[in-house]
Amino acid sequence: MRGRRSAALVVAAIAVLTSSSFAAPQRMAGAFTDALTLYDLGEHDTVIDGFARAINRDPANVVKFLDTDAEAWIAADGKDAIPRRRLVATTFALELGKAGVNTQWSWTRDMLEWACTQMRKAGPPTEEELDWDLASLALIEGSFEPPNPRRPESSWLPTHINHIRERFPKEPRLLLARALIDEFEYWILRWGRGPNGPLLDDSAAAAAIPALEKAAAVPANAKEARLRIGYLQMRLGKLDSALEHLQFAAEGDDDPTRVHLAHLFIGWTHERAGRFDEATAAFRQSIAVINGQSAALALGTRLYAADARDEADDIVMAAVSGDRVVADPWKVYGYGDYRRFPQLIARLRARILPR
Amino acid sequence: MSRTLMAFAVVLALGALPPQTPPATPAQQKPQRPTFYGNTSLVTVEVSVLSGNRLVRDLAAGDFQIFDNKVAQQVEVVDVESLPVDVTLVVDVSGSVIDMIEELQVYTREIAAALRVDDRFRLVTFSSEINDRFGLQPATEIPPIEEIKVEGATSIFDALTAALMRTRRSDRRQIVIGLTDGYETASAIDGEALKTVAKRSDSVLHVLLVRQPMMDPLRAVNYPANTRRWWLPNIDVDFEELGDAAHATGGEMQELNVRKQIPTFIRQTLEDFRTSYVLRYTPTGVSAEGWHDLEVKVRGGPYKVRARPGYFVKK
Repeated sequence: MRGRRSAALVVAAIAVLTSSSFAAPQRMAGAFTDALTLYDLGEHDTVIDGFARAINRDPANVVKFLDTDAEAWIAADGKDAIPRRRLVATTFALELGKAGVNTQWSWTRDMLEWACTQMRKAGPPTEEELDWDLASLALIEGSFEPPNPRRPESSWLPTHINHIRERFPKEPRLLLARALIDEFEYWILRWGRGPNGPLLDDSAAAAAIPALEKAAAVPANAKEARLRIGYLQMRLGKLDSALEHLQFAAEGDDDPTRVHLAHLFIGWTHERAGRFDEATAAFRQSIAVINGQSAALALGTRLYAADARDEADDIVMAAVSGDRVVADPWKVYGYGDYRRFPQLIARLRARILPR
Repeated sequence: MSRTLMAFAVVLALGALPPQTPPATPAQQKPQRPTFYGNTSLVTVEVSVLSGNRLVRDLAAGDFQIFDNKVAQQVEVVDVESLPVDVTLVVDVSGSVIDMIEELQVYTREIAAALRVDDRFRLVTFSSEINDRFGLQPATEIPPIEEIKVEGATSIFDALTAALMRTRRSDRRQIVIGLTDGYETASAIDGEALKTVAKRSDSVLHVLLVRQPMMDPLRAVNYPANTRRWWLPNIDVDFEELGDAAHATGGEMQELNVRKQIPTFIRQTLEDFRTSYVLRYTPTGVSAEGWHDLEVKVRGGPYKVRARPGYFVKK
């Protein structure tokens, strides 16, 4: 029965969400509540995909309906249901924010701001709330820019860190998030170009390292922080130090994207040192974990230069051909924990599955 | 390295055409390396000859002079009209082309439709990621291309590097045409690596930089620009490197100021390639390994000659 009702709601709500009359307030209000209900029934991808197609039409209205309809929806099933419904609605908002992360940064900020307010006015902190906080932190790192007049939402990462700290003062990931702000400042300095190519500011890279070292002192952060330190050391030309950090980061299997990146960076470090055989071996280890395009191209280019052209072609084609393309961890490396967002949102979805 | 090995390396490096290469059968799906016979190596060079902007046709072997590391070689000319062409179109689908994706789809279909029945076509799109949409397809069987999503950054060095690595079949010619607005933002490969591959590639690369904005200026003002360029230290973003890579294959980079000229340009590039000369020679009097400088001259006129500037033999 639930399946039939669910399917009918999917069709009706998504038709409204993606229709040309999306902005009509009455129709949208109904669609919004239906969408939340569907999301609560576990139709996560269907609902979020529908919204992702619609967000360019009238994002302001969606925020307005979060303020009105979503609050009403949270309270609609009685007091005992409020904590769970709050988590459903805030996870829904988090996923809506993700839908706009590439092109609608202010939308992302608005979604998260609404949800964060909901979370903070709940009772005592819970594990579920922490999961939500870490996922939202990752999403903000994915959209955060250092202060930028074109991006008024850019100051929201430090603000959000403070919000989480009020509720979870001992959460180690906050140390890493603070360090990432310093690292992001380093990246933006590289925007400039000089007469001989990109402007390199090694002092900025060095300035980003102390906060990462502080984060690395906490075991829960050590692997990720040292991956990032290793990368910066490579950029600074401190290749031995880079390798030491990167080899530490490459150990373990709790985060395949980190292991993949560590081997990729080890390969780049060896390349810089002129050790091409070691670089080739490291690139092979990297694509053995995840067949990311950047690592496959690094390996392919190295093999091609060594005249192993058929193997190079096979390796690169396996990474770029149609359905075989996988998300490339390097392409999101500069967004900090955003790389982990798929795992973090999966954990939240598991918590809100219908009972 | 023995002479046999050296000669084999030359064949591999240039996708040379041995005289007795058997014709490929339809069952040969994977590109086949030419078989090497005896101690003879063949070097193959694609050459365009222009007088002003017009291609010069009907030249014979005796009209050409090839110098391999400054040593004159004995040249033969291959009948190019009989060789089918594998065309790879490498198309920018990053966020900055959002206002012209429908045009690009139309152009792609037009270009595919202009191929001969024995040609093959491959479409590689690139944004933050690269996607070889359907592999090399017979020109008569090209799948729909409507489902291309436009978003993300621009990885043109990565995309061209991937496209150039494709091994050429001995009975075909291979051209890669890159189409972009040129704002490289996301490649993991730098210009040097692209040139390394270009120098060794079997393909001729042409790059078309479209200077008319691919995005509506009003939209561009509000388009979110990502200022976190963690990849930038890896790359010297310089259009000259695209041109250098094209020259290393015997192709060139051109700029267009009007988008509507794109299909005309590409059709012309294909036609020029199809009717260009394929010269072959067996290297004599030159050292075996490493980089070989090539110089191609044409007797009898102030011609402009376009050919790869050299080739590489593995040490």
